[in-house]
Amino acid sequence: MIDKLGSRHSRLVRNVALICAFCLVAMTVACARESGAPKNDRSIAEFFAMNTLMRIEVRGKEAESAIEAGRAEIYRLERLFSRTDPQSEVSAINNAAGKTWTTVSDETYFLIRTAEEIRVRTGGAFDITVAPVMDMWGFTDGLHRIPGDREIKDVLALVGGDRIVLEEDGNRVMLKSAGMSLDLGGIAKGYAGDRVLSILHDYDIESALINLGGNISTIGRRPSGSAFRIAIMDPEDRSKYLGTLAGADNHIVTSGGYERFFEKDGEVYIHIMDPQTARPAESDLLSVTVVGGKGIECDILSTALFVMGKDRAIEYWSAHRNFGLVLADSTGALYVSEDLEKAFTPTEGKVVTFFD
Amino acid sequence: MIDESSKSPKTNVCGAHGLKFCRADFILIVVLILAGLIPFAIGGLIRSRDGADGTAAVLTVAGTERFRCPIREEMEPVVYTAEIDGLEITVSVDSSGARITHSDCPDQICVRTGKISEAGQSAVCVPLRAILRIETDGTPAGSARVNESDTIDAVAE
Repeated sequence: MIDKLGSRHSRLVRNVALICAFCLVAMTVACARESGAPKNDRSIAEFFAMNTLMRIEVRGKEAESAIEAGRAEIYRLERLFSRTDPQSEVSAINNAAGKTWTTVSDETYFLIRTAEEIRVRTGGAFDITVAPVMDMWGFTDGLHRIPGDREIKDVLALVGGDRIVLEEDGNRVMLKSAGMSLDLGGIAKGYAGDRVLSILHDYDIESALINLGGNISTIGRRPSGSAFRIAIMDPEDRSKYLGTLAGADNHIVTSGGYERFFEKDGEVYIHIMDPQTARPAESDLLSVTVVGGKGIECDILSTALFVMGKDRAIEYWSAHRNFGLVLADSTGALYVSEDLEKAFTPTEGKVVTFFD
Repeated sequence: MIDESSKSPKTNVCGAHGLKFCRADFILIVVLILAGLIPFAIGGLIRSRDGADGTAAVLTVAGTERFRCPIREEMEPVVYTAEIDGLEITVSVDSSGARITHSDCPDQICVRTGKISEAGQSAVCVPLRAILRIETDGTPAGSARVNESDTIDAVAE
């Protein structure tokens, strides 16, 4: 009897030990899989397109499908709007400059018309016909040079959105003079942000963080429930930030002359051109950040308001008030529209003025 | 007198009664426990490879990792040059971070980016399709840590 009880006890201890050892292995494997592999509802894509690095991070039931649809959309738009792709609709317009009409898609027509509307609203501070000026200064091929006054005068004859002829019936576009050229580089990424957000919404995506070469768009919040924190790069020290914005189903776009420029004889020549002088913009601003619900408008306005300078940028905001604005001037001071008072957190030590 | 053993024939090859621990049982348990510890050992090796807190500078070209260097408090500067279709890009890593020091690209934006040191920061060379990034243990490639109130998710630039 005692022997029987002892046997049962031994069997129990042995089985418990084996089960414990098995559970340890199973739990460890499960933990390793959990931490090492992406969760089913989270997907990330990183790729080069539109001459920049794109990154889309998505959470939702159909994250994988949504992200692939977003990526495909960006490639599709690149094929339409690229100035360097000879098969693009923009190339077709440029090749027909001064000669004939070009029939384009609804989207290409929409972008050109939107750019034109904002060109008029900003007094010509943004102009998609500035491409020949970019070429002349060497910002297209990287062979930077300083043109002479005569060259600048000549190229100005090829610049001006008022010389784009649009015929809505049939989506027809024509540039009046041979040598004119469109560049949608200052608008295409913004529109791509709008399109990607729209596609992700179609897939019922709950949370997304989209970074199209520094243009940031968000859907929802972090998985923890807190708002995304988007930093604005400090134009004077790229390892630092001017401050952070709470991303909340909007677009955040920054423009500045600190990224693409060249120096010659101690002078700095930035890539943002003033369409009215055909020279680099002489702005009292170092960077402009626009926060809004439409990526295409944020993209255009960030460039236009940079060219306009601090006072005119604030005047423009006061007249429209349908977007948020963060300006960094050449003294290091920040000017922020009052609607961003809660969303914007400046970096410690920054002098901030909220305007209304 | 009935023999108990005759009522319950021994079917287990271990031990006289088939119920007590035998050497094979101990070996099986030890093997299972060691198997369970393998992932921890691998994790520890990765952490030691990527610095004390798993921080490393990583250079990828067209999506392929070409260079990984742990960033440690005490380390000699490391310089690495990658050749990409006949063009060169050089990165330098030291205890305070990493930077692209040279690139044969025309715009030099990547070189002007300067030093990067925090998880999720990157220097990008679009013409050469190269990305230098700081990665930290547990940080998804290309982004700052999420779920933390003091971290940055993305940088508008």
